[in-house]
Amino acid sequence: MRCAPLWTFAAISLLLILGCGKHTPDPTGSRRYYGDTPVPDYQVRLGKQLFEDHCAVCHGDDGGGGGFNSYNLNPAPRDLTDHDFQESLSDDRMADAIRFGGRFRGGSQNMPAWKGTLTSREVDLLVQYIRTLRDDETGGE
Amino acid sequence: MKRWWYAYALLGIATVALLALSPAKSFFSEWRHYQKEYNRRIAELAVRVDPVDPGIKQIWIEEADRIDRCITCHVGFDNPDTEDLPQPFTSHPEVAHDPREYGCTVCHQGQGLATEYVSSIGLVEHWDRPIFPKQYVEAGCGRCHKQEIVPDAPILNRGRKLIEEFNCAACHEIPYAGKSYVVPLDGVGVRMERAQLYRWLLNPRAVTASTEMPDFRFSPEQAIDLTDYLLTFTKLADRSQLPSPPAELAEAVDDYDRVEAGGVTFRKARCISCHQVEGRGGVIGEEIGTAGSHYSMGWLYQYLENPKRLLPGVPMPRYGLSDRRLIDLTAYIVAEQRDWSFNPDELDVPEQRDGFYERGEALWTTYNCAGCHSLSGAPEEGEKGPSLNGIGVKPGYRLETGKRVDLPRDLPDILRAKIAEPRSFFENLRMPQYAFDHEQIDAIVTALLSIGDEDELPEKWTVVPDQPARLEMNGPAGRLFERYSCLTCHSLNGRGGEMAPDLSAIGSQLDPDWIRDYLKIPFSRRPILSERMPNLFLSDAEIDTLLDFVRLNLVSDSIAAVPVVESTPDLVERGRSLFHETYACAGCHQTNGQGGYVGPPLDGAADRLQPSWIRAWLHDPNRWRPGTIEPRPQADKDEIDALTAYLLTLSERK
Repeated sequence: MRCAPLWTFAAISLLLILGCGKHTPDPTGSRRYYGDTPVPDYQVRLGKQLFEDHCAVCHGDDGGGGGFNSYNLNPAPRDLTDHDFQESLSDDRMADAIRFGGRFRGGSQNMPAWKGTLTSREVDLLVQYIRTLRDDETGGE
Repeated sequence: MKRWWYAYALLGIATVALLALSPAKSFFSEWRHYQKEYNRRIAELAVRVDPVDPGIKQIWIEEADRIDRCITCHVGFDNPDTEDLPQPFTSHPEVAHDPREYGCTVCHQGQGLATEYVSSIGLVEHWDRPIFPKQYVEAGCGRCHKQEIVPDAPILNRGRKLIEEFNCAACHEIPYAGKSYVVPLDGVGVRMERAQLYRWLLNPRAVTASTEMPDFRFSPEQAIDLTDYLLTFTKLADRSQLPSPPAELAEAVDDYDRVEAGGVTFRKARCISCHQVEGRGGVIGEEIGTAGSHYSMGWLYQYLENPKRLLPGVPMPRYGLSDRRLIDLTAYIVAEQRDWSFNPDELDVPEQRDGFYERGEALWTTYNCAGCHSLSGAPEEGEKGPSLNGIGVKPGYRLETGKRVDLPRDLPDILRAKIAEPRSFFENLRMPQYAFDHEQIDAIVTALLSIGDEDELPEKWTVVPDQPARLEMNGPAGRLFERYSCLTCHSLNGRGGEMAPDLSAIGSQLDPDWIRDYLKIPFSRRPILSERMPNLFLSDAEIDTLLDFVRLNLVSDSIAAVPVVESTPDLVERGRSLFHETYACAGCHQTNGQGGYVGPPLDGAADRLQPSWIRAWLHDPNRWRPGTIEPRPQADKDEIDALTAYLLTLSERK
């Protein structure tokens, strides 16, 4: 009994040390039940929705430039999957091309300006999504 | 005695040492590490960002009685300049509600008071509201926006729509969930052949891939009992017997010319605007590529003659077809729209079994068929599924997962797996198998997670919009709108379908003579669309009634007040240049065979559109047609005058 305080102290210290132990679960990673399908990024998904609503009629669902509206257009809509094209444009320039239309970059007069319709966040989401279309990144899916 | 003194002295020193550890623990804490890292990273940015003073930061939302300390680590959340930094330093995207005012956990869930990562996202014991995984983040919007279409939350909106479309509320109690129309089963005994109904009940999607009816996984015994039970219901909805079809019809089916003529009517009536045939067409009606073998000939004829008599509430219009056209059309469907791959002789249809009626009725009740289908004479109340009230705040460990030992005890994952494969949880669950893809399941789970506690958030934050009063359409025009189901596709004052243009201001938009010609022979101005206005075979008197209604009711006073300036050659020339160069209108609209297909061709715009409408439209297309793809040009007044003047020169009338 004489050493009781010492034992108590040792026990408290042990508990304190144990309390420092940490485990870090991943809130977004593997624990999501998804089968074999990768979890799509939320922002990319929003961008995809915007792309389908506003851009796909000309640029095509896959961004390849073959939307149904493209057949009668001259110049034809841009192939957005093109690696060189994507490299040639910074994010800001691409956002501006969406905002101010094709003429802004000396490109097609057929692409309208979207600045009156899309908010700057929407334009950013679109740029983010268009970047995923680049053929070297997704293997040209 | 002295030895005790030593012990106490030692203990005293140890306690002081322990106390000294406490500030050290704070010094080495996780959040301090993040704040240091933040200060280091902002120093490298091109723009100047104020460093953070060390300490715990918090947002107090008095109304919701919450304190969120998330911003202790998410330090750059309110500074757009930190956009390019990684988490947790990056700025919060622009959203409708300022996080400085609403905090974090109101939308995201998680444990606001916690200052360590793992506890803050709520993945700890005794914290039942972990943070929404990012793909379901829109569930947070639904906690206050309980019913309406929430702007900027497309996934939540889609989920709510799916819940309505697939009638989840037929079996589950779901707050604010709507129900959709499902065909009544009255007269099913004279509508379908025995083999067809049996095959349908075995697996509806195997018969019609696009059907919304789920697969109940009936055994052949169950399916045949239910088939024979349903076949006893032969009376139509108005309690009459199905009249026999004209004798001519059977002959017409074998007559090549008449079948051909029926095919012409089929195309003129634009059946595929609503119905799918071989994978193409609209989605309002069901797939009809095999209707000829799916339904009995007599029933089809009566249905085409007056759809709403046989299926009350069906959105299908009652076409003004002559008797001969009606017979030809039925003959065409019976002869051509068949399931050629199905041979009834090859299907092994079991014999009728004793006691089928009782067992069929029991199946009807057990699987709650009445939840979706009305059928007078059959039990109206079926067995319901569990209520989904508050499902979004149910902790995962309180849900039964049965055989699914592979699942984490985590609500979103359990909901996901349940929707994907309901029967994988327990052998004899009644929930049927749907064919949702991953995106649809994401949307539904988002909508379910949005169902929280009633008292979770301040009541005054709750947004439940008033339902607009139901549009009462009476009198001659109202009867025409009802008969031709105009509001299935078109909308009027916020009510009706979304497929076709809104009619609320159509009288201010279109030229009356043009409307008359169009109603007589509708033609698509956009050949690319498969959903086109059908030829309803209206009589002249009916068109007059509709035009009167349009002229007197469907006008907008604000458009009528828009002045149109006088046209001059200079103005027209300027408009032409704006149209083709500045605003890229030709990218979507054709003129003289040049241009895109997205918008309607504008040859003849002057004959079709009213001048003040053109002006009002160009100012802000989205105001007149929300969600239109046409971008707002942001043209100034002079430019709009010029564009209007140019469009008014595009006439095809001699």
